[in-house]
Amino acid sequence: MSFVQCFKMAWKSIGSSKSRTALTMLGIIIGVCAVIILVGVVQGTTNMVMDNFREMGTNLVQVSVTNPSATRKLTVEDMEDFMADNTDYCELYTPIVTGRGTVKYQTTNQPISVYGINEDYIAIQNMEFTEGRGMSGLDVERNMRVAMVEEGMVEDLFEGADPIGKDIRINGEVFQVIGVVKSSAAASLMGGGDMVYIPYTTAMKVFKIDNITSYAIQTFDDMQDIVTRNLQLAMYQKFRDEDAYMVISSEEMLDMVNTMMGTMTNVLAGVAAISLLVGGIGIMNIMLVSVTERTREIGIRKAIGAKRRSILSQFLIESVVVSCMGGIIGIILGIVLANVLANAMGLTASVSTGIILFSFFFSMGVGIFFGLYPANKASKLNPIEALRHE
Amino acid sequence: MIVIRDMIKTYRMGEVSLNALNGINLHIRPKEFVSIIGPSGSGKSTLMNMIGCLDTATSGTYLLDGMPIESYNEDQLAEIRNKKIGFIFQGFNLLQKLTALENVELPLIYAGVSRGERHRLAKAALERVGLGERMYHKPTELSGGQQQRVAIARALSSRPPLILADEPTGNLDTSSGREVMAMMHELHQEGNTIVLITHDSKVAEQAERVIWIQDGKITRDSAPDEGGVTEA
Repeated sequence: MSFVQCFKMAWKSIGSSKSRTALTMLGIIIGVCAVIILVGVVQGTTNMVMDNFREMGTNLVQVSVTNPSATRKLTVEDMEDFMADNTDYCELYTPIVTGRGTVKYQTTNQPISVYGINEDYIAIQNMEFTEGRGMSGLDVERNMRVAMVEEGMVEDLFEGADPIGKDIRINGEVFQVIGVVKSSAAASLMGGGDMVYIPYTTAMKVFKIDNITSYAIQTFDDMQDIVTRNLQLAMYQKFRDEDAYMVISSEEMLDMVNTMMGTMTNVLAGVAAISLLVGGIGIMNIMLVSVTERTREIGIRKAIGAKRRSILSQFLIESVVVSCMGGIIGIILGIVLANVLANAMGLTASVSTGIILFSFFFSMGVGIFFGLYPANKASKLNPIEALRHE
Repeated sequence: MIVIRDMIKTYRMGEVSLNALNGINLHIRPKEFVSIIGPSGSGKSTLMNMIGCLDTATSGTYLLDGMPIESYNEDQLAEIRNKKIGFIFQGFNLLQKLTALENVELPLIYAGVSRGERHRLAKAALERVGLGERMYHKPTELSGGQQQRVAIARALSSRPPLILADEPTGNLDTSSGREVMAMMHELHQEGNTIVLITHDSKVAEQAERVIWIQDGKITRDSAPDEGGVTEA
């Protein structure tokens, strides 16, 4: 008997019990839907994070000192020395001192992340100003109490008023706002919440930090690897202990994030795939019931000449068709819901062809795997006993 | 057509073994209309299963159209049933979800007959049993007599050399039963070999040859053939 005939028979019996088929499919639909939504949203998040990292600048190398102390520290002078030795590869660097605090303007309070930096940070990060100016070398040198705020704060903290020249209090200390910068998604991703930038010299005083823990260096194009290597060498010569410092390039960081998100995607897809397996067990369950119900039909078919293979194919195709239909509906539903969900989260869902094909073939595989046992059972029925079955 | 020698069928039920057939010898020639009659438990159903190639004997030989049935496997037997035997059952045994035409087409599907040819043969068979008008009705929309006629059409559709009817009138009222028997006679006159199994002597007597079976043995044969029927 041809495949087409088997398919037609399977289709006929699927069509004759529509509500049961729909309920059987539901397990697969939900499973596939979950896979598509989770992977789509996580992939969308990954893309956003990656974009932000790229936006932050790809020619960055960061060095940080773990648990700095009076004997174990990396000073601005050390960095100046390094920069002087590597003029062929890089030009700009900035210390980074971070702290958390509260900003107060008149009677309004807001939690913020504070970034202590030098004047080169603006160039390194391609900061854009909507108003005012960036900090100068003089501001840094003289521990000036000046601050650059993010544009989101204009609305929240200053309630729309022009913030330039206004006094704000950060952890009780008075600062003058000199500039408003466009919000950097990357920075908010790392710090969380709104950011205020102040000279690092001032930051060390306000937050009572004795030693700078990290620096960022901007390299010339394609010099990232050399700078990374030289910096590692310089650090080792200084500390003689590989655990004392960490040098990481933005490229490595990108890789790390990518790997991390990839792992997360796989874990989530795996969890969702378990629900697909549960759906498969549902199919097997219904197929077993169906085989019992249709024992007489199987007997008749066998008596008039159906071979084992014909019966096996009929039932197997039936379960595969149900699971594939469930898969297709699940994929469509998943794409729609992933987009709706991603929009609500301010992302763009990314459902790749790979994951669509994976979902489809996985649900097909589920249909084959869980259909095999009932189909085999049906094909093995003894025609005489099957005919006698009521 | 059918040559059975020393056929024994033993069923094992736990410790006890039961001989449903106890040395059957039977020769049925082509174009004969034979009925096999016996009370329930006589072994006639078992014999029907044997003749119908639905089961194989414990010992003995069975030649159907010259083919040694005991030497075939399950799938080969399915093919033999498909090509050589048209079944008519007491309970009609039609598939309820299919139309009359689709039911009649079923053996042809398993025989691998092409779509067009299948349609033509099935339609011809339905017209032959006088149901040309009701081809697209489902079994539930047909009377018992009509359903049995669909079953007869199904048995005829692939033009098998042997028609095996198991109590074909058992579920029918008198007039429908009479109709079905009339059809059997017609089929016989057209040159079909018919084996009819029944417990009803009125039905059995209509055949040209009647074989009585009891306790797994043939006890009487109205027209014993030289092929060898041994009195038990």
